[in-house]
Amino acid sequence: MRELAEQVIAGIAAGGIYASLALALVLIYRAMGLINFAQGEFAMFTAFICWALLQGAQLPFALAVAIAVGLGAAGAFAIERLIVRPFERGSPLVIIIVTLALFEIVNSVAGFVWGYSPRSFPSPFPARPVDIGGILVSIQDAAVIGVSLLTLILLYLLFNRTKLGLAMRAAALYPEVSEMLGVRTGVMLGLGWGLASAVGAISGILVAPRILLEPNMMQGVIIYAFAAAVLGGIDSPLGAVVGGLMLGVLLALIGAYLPALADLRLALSLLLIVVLLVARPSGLFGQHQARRV
Amino acid sequence: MPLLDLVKVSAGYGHRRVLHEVDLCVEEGEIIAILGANGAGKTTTLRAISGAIHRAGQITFLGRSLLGSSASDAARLGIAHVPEGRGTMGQLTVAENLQLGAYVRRDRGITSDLERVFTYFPVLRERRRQYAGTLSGGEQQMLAIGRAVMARPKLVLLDEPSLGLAPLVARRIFELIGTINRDLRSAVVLVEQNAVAALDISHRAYVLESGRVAVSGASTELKAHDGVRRSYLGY
Repeated sequence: MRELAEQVIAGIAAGGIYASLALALVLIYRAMGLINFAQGEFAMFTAFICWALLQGAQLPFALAVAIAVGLGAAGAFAIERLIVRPFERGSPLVIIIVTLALFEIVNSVAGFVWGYSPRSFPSPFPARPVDIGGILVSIQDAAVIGVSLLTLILLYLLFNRTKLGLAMRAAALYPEVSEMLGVRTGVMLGLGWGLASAVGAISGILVAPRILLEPNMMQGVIIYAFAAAVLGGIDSPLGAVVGGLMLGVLLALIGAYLPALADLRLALSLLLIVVLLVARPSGLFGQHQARRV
Repeated sequence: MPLLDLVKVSAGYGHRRVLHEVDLCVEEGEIIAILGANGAGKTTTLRAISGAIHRAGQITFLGRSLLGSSASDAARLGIAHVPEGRGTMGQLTVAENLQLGAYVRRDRGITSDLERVFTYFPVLRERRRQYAGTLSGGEQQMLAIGRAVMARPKLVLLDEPSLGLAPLVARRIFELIGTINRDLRSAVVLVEQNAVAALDISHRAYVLESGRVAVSGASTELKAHDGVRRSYLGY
């Protein structure tokens, strides 16, 4: 029983990482109705910047994270305004292909600058476990869970309690009317990319200490993030977090109790995506809009 | 100098030209009605003014050209466009819709203007936490006008405010357009199918036919104009 509880908590922690990246995917989906396939690579690149600031510039951890996340957000804003914008009026398929190109470009640039050999990435939180009511929880896991929940709360406050967040929602849902009200929808879209990149970057920085830093490190994580987003409902931030945590727990339990299937975790996640898209495309928390006819 | 001045304005959708060299001006504080049959270019005129579509000619607002400006620039300059179909943001609450109306403002009068809107339309106060999509047609029209009031605009463009409303509700909407014009001193350009009501509350009117101005003049004169009476007033 105790072992089960510990596995569940470790799963929630891993799920928190998937949840952060899934949140980033959901933010772009809500703003543009499409998936940014380069989201994981943005997160990887930001993690590299963070690493460079830690190792090269010897900055304190919190400062390095803040600068890296800020740079990642600014970079994504610029990419949206300069590279994606010319395709905004075209078909979503074209933009999706642009994001695939961005995936390759960001991946190659990271490989070019930092090389492909894995590097260890320091964690700000000790791996040492603490005893909570007889259950051993690593401080790192607890911190990851805390960071994911904090991100969700901050996003909720941004979107529901600030004028900027309200304008971002309006610009995503009703671009033409928002323009008429004076909202610069193009800028809002760029800010959406920046915000998504910042949220996704958190997953990169959280996962790097666990799986070593290298240009391809997010390619498994992004599959889990897709599965989490589809499970929770691709347009629901809360769903992304719940979906991420559920997926983390599911995979942890498979790893612990069905070791024969452990190597199939990625394949099972892809299978989950397919099954959900067929059986329940709106996921657990997808919008059922109230509409008056 | 008029508040808004259109000189030989043409506009359309893609290659289809809808407006042909329309001249139109609006003085400060004035209510202008634009009448005409379906497809005459009434909505297109409003969209050309606010920059929602591509247009050519000269459009000056407060002495500066609007031609290079986007719809959001026009909003920042003080033009509130209440579009056809009201532009209600159904998945946002009533309060959020009103809040976005004041998006371009930085002054301290926003709270008192919200009170003003709630005084004009008490039902919006009751329903402020509801999603705008759950309101009735009349309530949505009130919300759309209330949202325009929140911008404290110098000019309001109203597209078919009475469309689909019960006669009593429509009458109430027209009364409030007059009230807002007096209280806020906002000029109004009103596009209406209901020509009688539109001529009653407006100072001047333009009649469009196939994208051209056919007749224009003081509303009282147009009411007596034989052609206008037969074609648009129905007696």
